[in-house]
Amino acid sequence: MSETKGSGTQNFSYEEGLEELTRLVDEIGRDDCPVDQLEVRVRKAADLLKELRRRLASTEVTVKEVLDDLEEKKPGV
Amino acid sequence: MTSARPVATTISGYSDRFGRGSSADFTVLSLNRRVADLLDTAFPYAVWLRGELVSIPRTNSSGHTYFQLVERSPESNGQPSATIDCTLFAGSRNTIIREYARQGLVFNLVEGAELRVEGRVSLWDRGGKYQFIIQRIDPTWAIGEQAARLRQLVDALSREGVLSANGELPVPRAPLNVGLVTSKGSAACEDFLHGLRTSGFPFRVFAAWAPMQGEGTSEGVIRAFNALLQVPDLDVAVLTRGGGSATDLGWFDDPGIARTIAQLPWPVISGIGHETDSTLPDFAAHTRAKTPTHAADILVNWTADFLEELNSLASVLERSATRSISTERIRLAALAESLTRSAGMACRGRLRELRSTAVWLLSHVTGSLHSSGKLLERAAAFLGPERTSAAFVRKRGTLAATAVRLASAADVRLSTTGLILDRLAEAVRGSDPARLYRAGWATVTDASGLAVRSVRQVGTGGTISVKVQDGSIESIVHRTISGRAPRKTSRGALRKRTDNE
Repeated sequence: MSETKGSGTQNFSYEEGLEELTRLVDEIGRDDCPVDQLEVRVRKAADLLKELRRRLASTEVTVKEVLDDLEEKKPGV
Repeated sequence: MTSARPVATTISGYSDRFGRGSSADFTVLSLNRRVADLLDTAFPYAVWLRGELVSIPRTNSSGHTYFQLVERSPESNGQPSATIDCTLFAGSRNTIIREYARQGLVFNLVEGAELRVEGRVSLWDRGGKYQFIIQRIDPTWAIGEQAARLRQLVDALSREGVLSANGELPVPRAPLNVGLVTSKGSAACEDFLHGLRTSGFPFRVFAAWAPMQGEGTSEGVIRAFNALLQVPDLDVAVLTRGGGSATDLGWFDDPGIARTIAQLPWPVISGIGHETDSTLPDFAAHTRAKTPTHAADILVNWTADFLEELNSLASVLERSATRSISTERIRLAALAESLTRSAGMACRGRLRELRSTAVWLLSHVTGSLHSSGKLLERAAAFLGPERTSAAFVRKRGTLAATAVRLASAADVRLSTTGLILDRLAEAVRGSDPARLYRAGWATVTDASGLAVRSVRQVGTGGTISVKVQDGSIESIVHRTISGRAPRKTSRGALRKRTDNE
């Protein structure tokens, strides 16, 4: 996964983003997380979270449209 | 009965014309009884009767069964030319069932069956209807010659695998392209098409007309199936006709039709005659329909099943997609909560550390300052004016004594050093060449300028130069004498002149 995920280019998959987010949350929760890095990581994690939520919502809308389209085309009803 | 004429006046009930009536008149019941008696007289024993069962047998709560047998003739164009009501009482029925069982058959009165029955001609006096009271049914006649032939064909074609081939084809998922083999404009055709139309499904029917009875039946049906092979993307074919006599339906018991069906690439639904009819295509086809309408129902049901399956899959798809999105949303929510909690905890943790450090620092610095203050206070107290003055006096005394000792030691050291220097100067002076020359010492060098330190260094006749205080003496060696030199000349550079040199 690229270093710019969650902020700049978004050429990463949802699963990659999720994995990175999980890793960041784990790092943030550790006692040895440097304070200087804390802000950077929290910001990065928040950006990732926002991006993943956006993608999920977009997917949900698309899926709903596809299923609705399917419903309208049922024959003989 | 206006044309009837009395044949005897002696018989009870016969009367003269337009009489006023008397006790000799027949009543309905007495007439019926009279006719019944005549029938008994005419048919004193049971007789055998052959006919085709046309009406659906009706059995009442007492177990008595009623139906009709008919006779058809070529002149009547397939329509019944004669009909008789038949009654099978429950008691006789049980006897007949046992008789069939002994023959390995199942007794089942089906419409269209050719029956050979034994019974008596009877008239029920209260109903006034003439009927045939069946006592036995010939089981061997029931299967009949035609049925026996059909059975032989089925057995033979089964062994060849002809009858199972079409049945092994998969059921079409949505059989919307339908081939139809039937008689053009027949009731069966209309019933079938009506069943498809009312379903609402977009069936497309490709009809191939063929005669459904008579000698051309087999050839026509085979030709129709071959014509349907030219239709692209056909899903299924239906061979159907309405009910008819056993003879009419018997035209379908042709091995050629069965073999053709076995080779077709799509399933065939056979709907020939009524529910109780059996023809060879029924055995060779993929699915057997009771009637033309039932054949349509089968197609409609298959299509409906497919649609239901599609709808079910769509529901599953919708549920799966929705569930996946919900799961992801929950996962993201959990991560968001974890992130908030972790970030908060991390910040609070660092803050606690800072506070703790600040407290520690404050505590230690204060303590340290306090201690330092006390130390200073003690130092100040220790360095009070009186103690300070005394110390300074003592220090001054010590310094003065030390200065004295230093001066004394320096003097001693300087004196000693002066003596040493004097001796050294004397030594230096004693080594001065000028002084040595003045004292009569000289230096001898050979012709090459090297200092002569040994008699072996020069030979007889060689030249040597002797340097003295005021100049040099160039000499020729005429004799050398070995001997010890004076000790002073250990380095050999200076040699005191001797008288014999």
